[in-house]
Amino acid sequence: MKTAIRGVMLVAGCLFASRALAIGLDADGFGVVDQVVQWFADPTQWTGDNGLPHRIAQHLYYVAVSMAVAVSIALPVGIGLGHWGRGGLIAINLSNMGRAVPSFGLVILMFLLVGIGFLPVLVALVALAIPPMVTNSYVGMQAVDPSVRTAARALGLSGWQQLWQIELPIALPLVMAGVRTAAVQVLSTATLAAYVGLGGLGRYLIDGLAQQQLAQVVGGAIVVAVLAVLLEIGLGTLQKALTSPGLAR
Amino acid sequence: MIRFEQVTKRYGRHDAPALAELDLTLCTGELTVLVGPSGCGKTTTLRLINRLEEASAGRIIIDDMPIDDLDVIDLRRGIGYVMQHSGLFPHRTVAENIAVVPRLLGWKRARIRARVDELITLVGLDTGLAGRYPHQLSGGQQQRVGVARALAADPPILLMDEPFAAVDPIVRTRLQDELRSLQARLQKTIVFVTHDIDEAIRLGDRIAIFAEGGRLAQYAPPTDVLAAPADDFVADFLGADRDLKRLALFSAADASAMSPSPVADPGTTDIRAIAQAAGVNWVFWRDADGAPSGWQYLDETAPQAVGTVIGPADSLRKALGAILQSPLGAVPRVDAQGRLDGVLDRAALAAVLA
Repeated sequence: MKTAIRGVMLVAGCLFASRALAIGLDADGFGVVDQVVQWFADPTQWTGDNGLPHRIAQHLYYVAVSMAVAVSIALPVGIGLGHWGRGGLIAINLSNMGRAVPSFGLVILMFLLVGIGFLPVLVALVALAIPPMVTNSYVGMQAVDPSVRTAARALGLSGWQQLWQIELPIALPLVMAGVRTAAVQVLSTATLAAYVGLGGLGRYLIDGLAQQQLAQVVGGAIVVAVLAVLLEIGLGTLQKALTSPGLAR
Repeated sequence: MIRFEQVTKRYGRHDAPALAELDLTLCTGELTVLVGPSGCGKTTTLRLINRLEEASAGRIIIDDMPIDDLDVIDLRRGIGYVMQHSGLFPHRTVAENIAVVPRLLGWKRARIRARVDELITLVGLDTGLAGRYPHQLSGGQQQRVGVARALAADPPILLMDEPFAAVDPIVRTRLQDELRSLQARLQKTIVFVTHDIDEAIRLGDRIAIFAEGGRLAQYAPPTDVLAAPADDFVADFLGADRDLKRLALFSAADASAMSPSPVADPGTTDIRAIAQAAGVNWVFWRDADGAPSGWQYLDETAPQAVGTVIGPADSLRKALGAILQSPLGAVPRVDAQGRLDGVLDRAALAAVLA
């Protein structure tokens, strides 16, 4: 429910901002809102390489690949540190320092280093996604009641059984919270891909600004916002399905 | 049988030992209580048995097998473990919690289900609770589930680490009573840790009293410990009401009644002779069936209501309470059929403690 409300507010905010922009930028009195509606209504918008379906697919592809890489790095690290209870502070501080690095700067830096392509964007998105997932999964594992761990050992569960059957299922809500945060951040930041010549929904923002077509900018932003809300709701539903009712308070 | 041979446990290499050269043999089928102040090594001793802790020196032998020779996972699956805060798995239902070890052991589904139902009933829970999650249970219910989980695969040994410390006193007493009756039926080798000496005395077939620094101060049945504390530490730990605690361990049948007891049967005319023979100025009356019917001072003409009657299974502590309340300083004791078989006074109780 909370995510739905957040989504509605986000969309409303975008509309409000576009209204405000319309007053300043639109000389002939033709409201930006109407332009945006037209932009969405234009049939050519829904086909071809610059059409919405293709751009959305590209965008989601960047997000999916980045998240897959980030999850396979961050979750083992965070879960492992939480399970063994060692080096957690160092890892969390390192990944928090990572948070301070601006994604835009990282994209440009990587672009200069490795040139054009998906790699610079991938590195930036992965770097963005790792900190919340490491921190949350570490904290989630650490929060498992020590008496539950002792009980699992004493009953004769092996190390892996303790991890998979007891600790991970109990830590799951916090681990998933980290994944959700990271995924939404990655989804909105993946617009940067367009800066280095790639596609995705960022194209509308970059091209729209370059061509001074405000409707395109606002339209692209709305699509990103709606996708973010849907992703958050989808992951929330997944989390709920995976979490034992015994953990609900 | 669980045997500790010269077992020492140090946590840091240079720290004082938590447990110092312990020699201790725990008997099969008995409930042994490890008791002592905090930091005395009693919990360490318990956790050494299923190797939650590893001994720094010495060895522990279960039924002629040194536990270091066993696979630690197999060892633990063969030993039940109950802890203070139930340690139940919050994401699993009551039934799933109880089924943990049988599932690890690869039991068939139907066998597990039957065993879970059996155990839920055995520990005094409603089978309707099987699908509940731990946070939906009271503290007492959680402890019962903890006991059921420990018993699931019918291990011969049960380790209990202050299992009743976190529940309220009324529930604790009930759980203690249930553990005693459970033990009477199951005859497990139980090692029970507590810091509560009264709990130790109530439950233990034998109690091992630990002093600071992991020294075993005394190891004996509760009656022996109360009758003859090994040293000042044990005497202090037992407390000033040691004799009261001892009385609680004896039943009324253990005491010798006043001899002769001032008891008059129906039709007796000379109650004075009976009273004087016993050295008192009163008698108890018995009716035709032998049951106590009242008591009477020699200088009064009618008997008074009998008041408290002590049965053969009542504790002498209860008898002492009744003696203190009686104007005569004595209470009638009946046998299992309800027939008055003697009168207990203060001297009769003192004789038991002597």
